[in-house]
Amino acid sequence: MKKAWLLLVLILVIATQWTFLSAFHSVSESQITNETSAVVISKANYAFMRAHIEIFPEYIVNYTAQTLQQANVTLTFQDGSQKQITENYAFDVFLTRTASHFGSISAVTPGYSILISDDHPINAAVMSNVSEDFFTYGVGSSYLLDRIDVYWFKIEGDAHVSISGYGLAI
Amino acid sequence: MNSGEPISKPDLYVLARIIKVLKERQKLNRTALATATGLSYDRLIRYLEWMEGKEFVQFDAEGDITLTKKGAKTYDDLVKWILQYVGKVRFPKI
Amino acid sequence: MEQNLTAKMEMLMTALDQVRKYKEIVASMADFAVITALSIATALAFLMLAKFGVLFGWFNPWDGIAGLLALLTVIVLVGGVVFAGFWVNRRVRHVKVGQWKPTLEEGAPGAIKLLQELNWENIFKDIRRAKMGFTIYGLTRVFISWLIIAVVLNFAAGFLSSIVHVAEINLTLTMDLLSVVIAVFINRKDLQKRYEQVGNLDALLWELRWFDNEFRRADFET
Repeated sequence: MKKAWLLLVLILVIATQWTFLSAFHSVSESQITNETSAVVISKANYAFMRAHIEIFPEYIVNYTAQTLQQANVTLTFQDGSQKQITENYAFDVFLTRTASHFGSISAVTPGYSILISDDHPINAAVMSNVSEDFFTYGVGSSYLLDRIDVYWFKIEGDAHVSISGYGLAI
Repeated sequence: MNSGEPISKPDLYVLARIIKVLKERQKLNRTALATATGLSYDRLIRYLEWMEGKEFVQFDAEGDITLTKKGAKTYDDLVKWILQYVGKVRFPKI
Repeated sequence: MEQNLTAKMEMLMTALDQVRKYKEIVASMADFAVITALSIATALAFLMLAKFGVLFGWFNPWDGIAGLLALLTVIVLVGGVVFAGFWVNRRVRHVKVGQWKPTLEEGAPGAIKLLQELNWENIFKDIRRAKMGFTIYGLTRVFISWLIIAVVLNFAAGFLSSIVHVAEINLTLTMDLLSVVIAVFINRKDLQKRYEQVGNLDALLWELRWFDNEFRRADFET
């Protein structure tokens, strides 16, 4: 009888663990950028998310010096700060849970297909050749931002961007 | 030779043991039979009284016990009777 | 005639010993389930730790620690199931059988004694339990095989998709279905054996019921 109770408890533990594990999500994105591009990391506000972003500036041939060098790439962040990179650069972004949410959501950032829903509560996108309007009226606007959290930065220059995102929606 | 309560329904196992020993050893005194069957002396005496009444065993002048033809037949009938049932059971390979 | 009786009794007692072993398998199913569930819970705990670690930046997914946790998940899961199997096997091997042999050496009296001491109602209960146990055992074996194969295949598929970049294709469902097919295929002989054993136990139950009924009704007249 004790074993039956122990088994019942273990099954409940496994069911809880399984439910909890299904709350973990992952996303990956890999793109070549040119001219002005945007990296947009988004998530439902009830989710935690970590994104590991790697930027590999393109190699260009310097015919005068007969050498291979990486392109100049400028990153402009949400707060206006800038970073110049001429070699591979990687950093992590952690977006914390900002609100509780009940019921389903299906949000699309204005004009751009960054779909956030209960099934896909995290997203990562690299968008090439975007206009300045994108930063002003797109990801920069407050529309729907009460339901989703967005982290973005601008990339100017040719690079290969790779993003691995991990999220927990609870 | 009376040694307590008479037997109303004998234990077939005890009965079979006594008869088997007597079949093998032909003639035995009570003490030797008690040792050979592993029964207590008192219990053996009660069984022997019952068996004598049924004419399965007989006592000679020295008090030694021998198996009668009826006793031997009864034993064979008992084995046959059990075999009649157990023999019919088929054992599937499990 | 007496030799015939002891030979028949030996067959009966051997069959009953086998039933006792089967009953032990049924009895150890609870241990099997507890050990397996414990290993699944532990494996899932490692998996959760790996996911938490990556999410909260304790380590990166490509770090050794993440790999170690993934490896531990598989080892604990597979190891737990294998240990549970060994445990059941150990319990079955420790079932005392053949204890009736010295009694049967006495010949017909021994056979009579053994028949007198048999508790038929318990024997019938044991056979019924063994029948049910075999059905559960067969299904559990397929389920556990499926679980192990599914974990290994999904692990391999995950590794493969990270190399050839086929992340767009969801391999999980394919691997799960493939695991079911493989699990049934590798257990097909065992399933067939269990099916036949259940049928044979059924036959034994009927034979012994008949024997008990007839033997109990009949009375040896001295």
